[in-house]
Formats: sequence, C-alpha cells, structure tokens
Amino acid sequence: MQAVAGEIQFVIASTLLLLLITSFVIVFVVIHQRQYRKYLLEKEEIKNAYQQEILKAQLEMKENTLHTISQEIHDNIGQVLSLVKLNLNTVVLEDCSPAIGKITASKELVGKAIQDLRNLSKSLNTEHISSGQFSRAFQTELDIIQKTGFLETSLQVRGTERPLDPQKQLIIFRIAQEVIHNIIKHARARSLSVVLTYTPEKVMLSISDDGGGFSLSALNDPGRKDKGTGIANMYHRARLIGAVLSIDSQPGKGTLTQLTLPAQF
Amino acid sequence: MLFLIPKALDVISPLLLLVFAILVNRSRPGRDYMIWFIAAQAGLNTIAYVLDQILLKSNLPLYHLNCLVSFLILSAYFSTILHFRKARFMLSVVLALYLVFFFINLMLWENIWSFNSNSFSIASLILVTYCFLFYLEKLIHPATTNMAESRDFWYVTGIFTYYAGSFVIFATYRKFTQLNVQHLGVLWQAHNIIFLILCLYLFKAILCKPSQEKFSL
Repeated sequence: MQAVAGEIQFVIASTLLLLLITSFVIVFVVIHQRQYRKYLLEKEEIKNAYQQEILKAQLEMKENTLHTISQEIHDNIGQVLSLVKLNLNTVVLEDCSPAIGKITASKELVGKAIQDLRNLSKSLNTEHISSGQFSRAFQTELDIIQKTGFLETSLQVRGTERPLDPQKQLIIFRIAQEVIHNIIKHARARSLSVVLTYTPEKVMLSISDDGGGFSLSALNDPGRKDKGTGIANMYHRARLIGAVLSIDSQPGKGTLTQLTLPAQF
Repeated sequence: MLFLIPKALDVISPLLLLVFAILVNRSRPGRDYMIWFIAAQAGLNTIAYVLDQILLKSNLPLYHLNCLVSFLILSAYFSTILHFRKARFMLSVVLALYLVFFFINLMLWENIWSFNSNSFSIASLILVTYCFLFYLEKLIHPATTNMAESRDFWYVTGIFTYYAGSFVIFATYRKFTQLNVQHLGVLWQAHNIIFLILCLYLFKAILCKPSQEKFSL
C-alpha cells in the first residue's frame, strides 16, 4: 500500500512538473510576442517616418518648381504683357481710324491675360496657402472658379479658425484642389460648397456638390481601368498627415468628401 | 465543511464562471464555443458530483460523456482559431479518427463503468498539440496588438494548462481505481485544483474583448 501511495506522489509530482513546463511555455510565448510586437511597431513607425520624409521632399521639390514658375509668370511674362498694354495705351489713333476697334479689343484681351496670369501665379505660389489664413486661401481658389461661371461656390467657416502646421495645411489644400478638380471635370455640378469646421478635437473640411455623383462600388472595382490615381493619392496624402478621408456619393445625389484631422496631429 | 471545497471545485468554479460568462456576453453567448464548454463542464460535473456524493452511485459513465463532449466542442473551437493551410480539414480528420478510437476503446478496452484513461489522455495529447499549433501561429505571425488582451490567447492557455497538467492524472487514474488505492481522492482533488486554474484563465479570457488580433503586419 505504501508503494502505491508513493505512485500517487509520483503522479502529483509529474503533474506539478508538467504545470511548471506549461508555465514556461506560456511565459515564453507572451514575452516573445511582446518583443516582436514592439519590434513591429518600431518598424512601422520608421516606415511611416520614412514615407513622410519622402513626401515632404517631393512636396518641397514640387512647391519650389511651382514657386519658380509663379515668379516667372509674375515678374517676366506679367511685366512684358503690362508693357504691351502700356504701349497699346500710348498708341494715338484718330477716332475714325479702322484700327481703333482692334486696338481696344487687344487692350481688353491683354488686360484679361494679365489678370488670368496673376490668378495663375497666385494659385501656384504656395506661400499664401501654407503661411496665410486657411479660409482666405480657399476663398481665393473659389473666387477663381466662380469667375469662370461654371459653378456657384460658397465657403463657410464654423468655429474659431486657428493656424495649422504649414506642411499639413498645404497637403490639405492640395487634397481639396484635387477634389474640386474632380468636381469640375466629372461631376456636372451647378454648385460647390466648402465648409471648414474647427472644434477643439479636430479640424474638418467638407466639400460637397450637387452633381451626378457616382457609385462607390464602381470606384473600388479592381477591374476598372479608368480609375486613375487621383483618389488613391488623396487617401495616401491624408493618411500621411494622420487625417481621415471619406467620400460619400450615390449616382444622381452628388458627392460629399470629408477630411478630418485630429487636433493632436 | 472546508474539506468539501476541493472536492466540489470542479462544480463550483464552472457554475460561477458560466453565470459570469452569460452576464458578460449577454447579447450572443451562444456564438462563443468556450461558453458551451463551460456549460458542459458545469452541467456534467454537477450531475457527477450529485451521483457520487449524494446518491452514492457510480458517476464514471459521465466521464466518458464529458471527455467526448469536451473534445467535440474544443475541436470546433480550434477550427475557428487555427488558420494554417487545410486546418479545418485536418481537424475534421483528427476528430473522425478520435471518434473511431473512442468507441473502439469503449467496446474493447475500457467499458462504461470504468474510468476512461485512454480516451482522456489521447484527447489531452491532441488538444495540447492544438494549443502548441496556436502558439506557433502566434510566434510565426505575431499581431501588432497585445496578446495579453486577446480572449483566444487566454482560452487556449487555460486549455493548455488543464489538459497538459492533468495528462498524468488521466493516464493513471483507471489503474489506481482498479487497484482500489487508498487516498485516491487526493489525486482527483489535485485535478480539481488544475481545473480551478483552467477556470481562472477562462475568467481572464472573458474579461478581454474578443478578436483583438485582427491586423497582422
């Protein structure tokens, strides 16, 4: 009987040993997984930082190029055209001269060209976007569209406007330009509305139109060849600044695009 | 009165856990296989306790049933959490083989009135292997979320601790009952303590949110 009691003790000891081994296995798995998770998160952070640096460099290059073009338009072509207009103004013609009509029309055309070039120069120059008031930059952009007569535009600012990080402000503005460009190109809309909402937690930009809209499922269809990279770029840019982009649309019901940037970014 | 507690641990702990699990998962408790496992343990262990301690009748047939029902439920559970290639097919094959073994064992080697050491220990080995496969998957494809917040991790850890820890007890218990060994109750009380550890792990699992590890990198 004593021997059997010893067997029970052996079983209990074996059980304890097995429990100890299982504990080691569990602790090993937990520690390993924790370390690996830490490593993956660090890797992801490095990847994000790298992508942001690349995007920043790309943006800087692009903005520098645009800035140079803008300066050239303003300082060179703009000046030349101004001189042409001045020269035209100095031409003295008799009232009955047949050239007077052509000269007057030319003066008007040159004047319009100067104004268009100024607008173009302003839109290419990013300084007023990244360092100036955000709503003012939007208003300038919408004014240019309004002048074309294609669309009725409106801008509304809700909450107290506050300055954002210049780089992020520029990226948001470029996303908005892409949205507006898509509306002009595809939506067949009559009006365009931009709402900038500032709350302590976030900044939200909403752009809506009353155009034809589109099916979101068609947009996500991988087999569709005319999908373009514009929307993908918008999502990519939004993700890089920590913002969330959402597009809501239905055929015949217009489109609402919203970009939300949390305050901590 | 206190000496009764270790004997009834395998009844009290699953019953309390079942009530807690239903309260926590009030919306859809039936969708969680482990709640069915806890319910089966609570029900079968209670009946076994009443038969043994109150009606003074043999409760050994219930252990055959307990082993079979637990293995079926846990196989179904593992088929939902193991994602390696052809996992469901392999689990189905193992389940079919086990069922064949279970009934052959019942007819030839361990009748219904003896403790089912063979079927319990084979089931333990298979379930411990499934647990290792789960851990292996977690090591090969780690998620970015904390494993300690994953419900499945704690469920599997409970199953692993219980079936690995009780393996020697299951494997030797029939032999000891046939030899009519003194103080055999101590061995089953040791089993009940491991069962309590299982219930504690399951309790921890129920406190976690389900499906924490959705997005692996």
